[in-house]
Amino acid sequence: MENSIFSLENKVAVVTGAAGDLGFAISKAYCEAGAIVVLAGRDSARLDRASERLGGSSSQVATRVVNVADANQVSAMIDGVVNSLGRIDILVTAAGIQHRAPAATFAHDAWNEILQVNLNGTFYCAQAAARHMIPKKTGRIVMITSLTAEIGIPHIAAYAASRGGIRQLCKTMAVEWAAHGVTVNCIGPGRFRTRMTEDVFADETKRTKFLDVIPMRRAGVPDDVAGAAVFLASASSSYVTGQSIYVDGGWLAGGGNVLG
Amino acid sequence: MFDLTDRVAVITGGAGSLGLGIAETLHRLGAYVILLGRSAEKGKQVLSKLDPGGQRSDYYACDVADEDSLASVYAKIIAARSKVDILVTCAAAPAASGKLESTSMEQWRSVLATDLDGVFLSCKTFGQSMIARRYGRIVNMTSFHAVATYPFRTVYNAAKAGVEGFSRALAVEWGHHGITVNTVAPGPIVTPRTKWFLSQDPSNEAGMLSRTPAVRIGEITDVSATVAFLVSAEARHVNAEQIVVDGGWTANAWWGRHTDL
Repeated sequence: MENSIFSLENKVAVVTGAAGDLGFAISKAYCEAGAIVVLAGRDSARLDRASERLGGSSSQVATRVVNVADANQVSAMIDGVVNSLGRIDILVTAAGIQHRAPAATFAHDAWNEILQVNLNGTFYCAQAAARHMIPKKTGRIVMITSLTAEIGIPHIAAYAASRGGIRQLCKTMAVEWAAHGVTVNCIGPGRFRTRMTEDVFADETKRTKFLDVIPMRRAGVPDDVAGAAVFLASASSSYVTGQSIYVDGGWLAGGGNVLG
Repeated sequence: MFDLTDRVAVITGGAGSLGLGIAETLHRLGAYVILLGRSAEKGKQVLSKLDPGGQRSDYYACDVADEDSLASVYAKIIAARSKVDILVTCAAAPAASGKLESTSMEQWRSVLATDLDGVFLSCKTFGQSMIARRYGRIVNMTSFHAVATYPFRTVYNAAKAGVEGFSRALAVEWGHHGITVNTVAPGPIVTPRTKWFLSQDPSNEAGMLSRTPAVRIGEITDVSATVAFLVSAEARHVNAEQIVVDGGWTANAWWGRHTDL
């Protein structure tokens, strides 16, 4: 990848939610593209396992335990990365949680927790990273949103609101920081098969229904976001900002119509 | 990642600055690039610049608004290379702007013929190989004008918004063949057309820069890299998307000067 226009050689990338399926797939792709990757997340044991799968204690991979819902922890983590590795070039915010319940009875604690982790956590991370990127006049921030930023799906009110909020946060920060060489974009996965959605895929009737509305006729797999994540982190995307790239096999364009 | 070795890429409008820039990027990533353009003479010039050894490129004179012309070129390409994996449609009519009241039916038809008919016919023609082989990547060029625009661009916008809608529908229709269809919408990019606009009035450049969040006018490589991502194997689940390459222009409707931020 060294000579590729998409090379991330020697770039320092922080990926939150790095032990999760999407965060891990992105971390793996960044390692392959040459970046030094800091895997960040809440659970140190899971981070260690993710790190081992990427070659363990090589100088290319590090781990940081952080709760993104805590602004102080986030800024300490980002500052710590800059102190030890010299800079932060790329931030990916892939930490996220989900809770399914009817909107009419959605528990307020669950609502607050989801907004706190998904939306506020993304804001805290982007803010902390940009403070280091702006003076350097270069930076790449990639936020994970979701197709649910665009369409309504029953029983995920808080998650959808958090993802829609991220999409607008992305646009605002993009417009504000573009003059400083910092781009801010979103990747929005569609229907993916991950640990977060395994319950949905376990039901064959549901699975068939879901796949019938996706033009590519398959669920996404975590590696499907890797290409977009590398593109948006590379020097080649310096003029792309405020964009959301949905990785959904065309589902959004089909509008949920059964394609047969 | 993003390797295009052994991929055959057809680029319409291949002799234009954007088409040639895209061809250069795909060629650099390993693709065999086939440029289509109206002028055979211009084709020789661009090929000698793009691929002096002539190892991985061809040029065919073609009118993309003419189905027979495309069919003839398609037959030659299949005979020579046996397949088409990638199609990028860059063919565009000369810049169209003017008040609607003084826009003639001939002007309307002329712009739509190249910008919209040309995309329909190119996809229909080169999609045959993609359907047969169950693999394809199509990128149609639209414009940020399809998202946010000025007065006096009705015809151009109709064409580009038409391409965007056509592409989404085709993406939904051909996804099951393993074909993705996406669009790239360039914003202010340093093309001959933009250079002409800037040359018309010294204040145009300052106005364009202060309105663009990135405070620079984009390079052709900004567009060609985005195309390269979309035609790669890594973009296999990105379908029916439009990526705007505009330095944040369409994300922004702020009235202030980005140069002051």
